[in-house]
Amino acid sequence: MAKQILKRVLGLVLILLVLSFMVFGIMYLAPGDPAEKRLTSQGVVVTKEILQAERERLGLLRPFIVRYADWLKNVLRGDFGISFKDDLPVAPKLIKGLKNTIWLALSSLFLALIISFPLGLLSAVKKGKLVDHIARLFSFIGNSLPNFLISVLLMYLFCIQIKVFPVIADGSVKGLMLPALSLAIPMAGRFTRQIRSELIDQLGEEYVVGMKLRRVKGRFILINNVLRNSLGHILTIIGLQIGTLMGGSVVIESIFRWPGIGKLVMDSITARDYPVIMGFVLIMGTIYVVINLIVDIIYRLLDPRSF
Amino acid sequence: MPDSDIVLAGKNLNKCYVDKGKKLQALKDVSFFLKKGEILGIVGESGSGKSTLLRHISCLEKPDSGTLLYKGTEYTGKPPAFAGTFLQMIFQDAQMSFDPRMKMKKAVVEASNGCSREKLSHILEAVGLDEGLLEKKAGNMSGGQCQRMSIARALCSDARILLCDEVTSALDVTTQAQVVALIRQLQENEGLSIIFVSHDLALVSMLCDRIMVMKNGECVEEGETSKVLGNPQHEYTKELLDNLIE
Repeated sequence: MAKQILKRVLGLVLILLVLSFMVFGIMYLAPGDPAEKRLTSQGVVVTKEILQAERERLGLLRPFIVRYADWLKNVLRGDFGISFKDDLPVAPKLIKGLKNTIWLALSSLFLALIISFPLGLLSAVKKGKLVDHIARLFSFIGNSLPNFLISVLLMYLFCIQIKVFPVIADGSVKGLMLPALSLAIPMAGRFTRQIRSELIDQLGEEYVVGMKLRRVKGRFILINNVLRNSLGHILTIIGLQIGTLMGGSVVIESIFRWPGIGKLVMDSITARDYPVIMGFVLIMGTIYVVINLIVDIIYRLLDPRSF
Repeated sequence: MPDSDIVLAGKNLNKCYVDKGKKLQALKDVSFFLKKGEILGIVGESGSGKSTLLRHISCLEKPDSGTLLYKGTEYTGKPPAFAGTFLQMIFQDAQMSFDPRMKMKKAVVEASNGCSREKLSHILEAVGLDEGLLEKKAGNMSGGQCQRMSIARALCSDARILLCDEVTSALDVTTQAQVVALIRQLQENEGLSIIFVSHDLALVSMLCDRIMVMKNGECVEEGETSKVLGNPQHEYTKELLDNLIE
């Protein structure tokens, strides 16, 4: 087990190294001159000399590989560079945005789970009954609606009609509700379907059929055997969703003006603030692969068949 | 043989499944009986309704019409737990019939409150298993060991009727012979009544006292093994025998 984990960690380091190279390479090849963009945004009349001096100052004239090695060395020390936009260090900005995004992601995950888990469970146990049809309908609708559309509908209902939540999410718990719900509804739709399907598979296993015949109580089988054996799969689904959530909340953060990392990166893309964009992609990539690794380890611990 | 010797019977059982508007008659007017201490073999190709019949006998499914009787008392439509008081099922894939997380110790006695340590030891001895295996999980045991353990588990619950659903199909030839010998021994020593479902006519002819041939959800021929195989009346039985000889 320890050997397998070590192997995965080494693989993870390699993936991150390739990712960092790709991120830097893509930003290097991206059209547009950050020095020029920066000067024009500051209202400076751009001449050839001024532009050259700005490029020099930002270190854009050095060879690609030198710039990459320099950047990577600093990143490993926790220094993501200086923002092209406002000359402030990138790392504190990313950390502040990341905290808010994690807060949003966990809230929406929590909401999605409290909706989908009972629904998926009921739907599986009462397969073919009315409650199953209702759960499947919810899952279908939740899955079909894009989260930006849900956010607009929620905004119209709760901010304009009922007026219980603010339109602009100000970082407070109240402001968090609608962005979290917008992310949670489609996720709950997906979770409901996946939890239902996993539990139905488990309920049809021969060991469950046999236990029913051996007079073991249905509730006991469900809690003690079926749920425990499904936990690995359910956890994998949730784990993968956390990674997607971290990067996928960009649109929702922009709609509700939630001060998360998604909004920060959207603003940075508009301003061609490459250090922030590179820091964002690298952090998101790291979070994604680390979560995958953690889920994989937990899955192996939960499922004795994987040993 | 008097009617009182019949422990289990089914009369005119019918079951029709509807899938995407298409009807499939899985059981067509099937009737059977099982006498105390006998082995009834059910043969037929895949999809002939053998396993469906077992699922109905064990109340895992409810027939559209027809009745099931245990010692003359009807139990049609009762929950599986009711059927579990007098019968137990042994599955084709023995490993899958155990919770992969559970140790045998827990899995074997999970619902048999009355199964004392002495009784368990006696049962394990009867099925030829070492007590040390109780500390193992299904994934760490061979197919043959798992199948023996699932038979031990059935015996622990005091069932006097065993429903064996293709129990030897997933095993190698040597283990198959051992499991078949064990079933025969249990029938003789413990007086168990057994329904043995298989598509292997040779195996059924060796083991079973009576035989029932099924095709497309219907029982096409039924009787004592020697009579049915010695003088088959139905074309399908003849076909099965021809295949066996070839």
